[in-house]
Amino acid sequence: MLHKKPLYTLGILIILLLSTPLLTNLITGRATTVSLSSAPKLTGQVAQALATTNGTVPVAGKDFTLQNINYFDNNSWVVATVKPASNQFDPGTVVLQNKQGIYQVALGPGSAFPRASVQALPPDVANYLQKQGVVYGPVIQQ
Amino acid sequence: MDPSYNSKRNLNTAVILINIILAIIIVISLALAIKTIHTTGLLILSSTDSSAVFSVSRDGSGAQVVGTGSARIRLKPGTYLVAANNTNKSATKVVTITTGQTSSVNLTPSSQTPLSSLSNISFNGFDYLLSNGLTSDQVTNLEQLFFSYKQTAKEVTIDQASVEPGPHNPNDSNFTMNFTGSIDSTLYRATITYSGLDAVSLKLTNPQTNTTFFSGKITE
Repeated sequence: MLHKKPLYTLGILIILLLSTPLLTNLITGRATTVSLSSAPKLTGQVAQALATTNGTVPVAGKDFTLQNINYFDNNSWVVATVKPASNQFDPGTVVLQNKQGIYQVALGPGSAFPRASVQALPPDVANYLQKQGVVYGPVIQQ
Repeated sequence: MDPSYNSKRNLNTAVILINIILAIIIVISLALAIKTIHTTGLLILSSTDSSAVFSVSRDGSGAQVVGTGSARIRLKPGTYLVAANNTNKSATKVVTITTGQTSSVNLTPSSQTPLSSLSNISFNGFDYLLSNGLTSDQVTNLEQLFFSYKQTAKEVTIDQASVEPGPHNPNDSNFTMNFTGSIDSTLYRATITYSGLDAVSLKLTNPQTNTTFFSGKITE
């Protein structure tokens, strides 16, 4: 006849196996483990700024690329051109600032910026944007 | 030998083998979960906007959407940028993840820009200037002049009762106007000169000492 002990053990293990997802969920704090894929520098932060109204973020290399990347003021400011791969959004210029150890979008992405917004940028960054022809609005003389 | 004895013995062996395999699967699953909590930190995201879409990124990585309204995620140690987006509003925060520790971030998308911006200033009483001779373009340019004086101002107010036109020379195309008001809690006296459709100049002086602390103009 079949031994009872292995059968009882099988029953217990089946119950444990069915409970394993719940147990691992409790151990990990009911949290999903997220692993970010590697991507060219700055593209993750720019992708977050380009998040669409339906909640998706574009993927660097597939939906857009960053070109003409220029650093200013000991790499504390960056200006780049966002080039879309399709018509998902318009091409534009983006300005990022290094704050708290990570680059964050400070202006844009956009095709043009009002002079009042650019005034808050360091002069070399503002002058670069002016030369790129992406600043509009009246000139203030003091 | 009884054939049924052999089949029962084989069945017992199969049950024992299955038990061993199940036990291994359970132990590996639990071990992986324990390894996860020892190599990652917990990040709890929340927002007053239940439609806010959360995403995370870090230098050298792509961005990934992790939840809507709230999220509980585990990340490897490092510095991350968390963003909450909803239509045209967004908010971001930098968070540092430490192994074995829990970080909580509450983010609500807003329309404020990261840089000082004209849109962050509340201009009060400026509409009154429209009914006193200025064009809407001149009022807009006047706001820009106040912004260029103090980009971090929260509120610029004109005391409507103080608005009075200056003397006007019929041979001069310029008009002047004087008024007092406040920029946040600082009082000022202003003299504006305007002409055409959008040219305007602004001079700000201390009402007590008459010292000029700002002078600027926008020409056509």
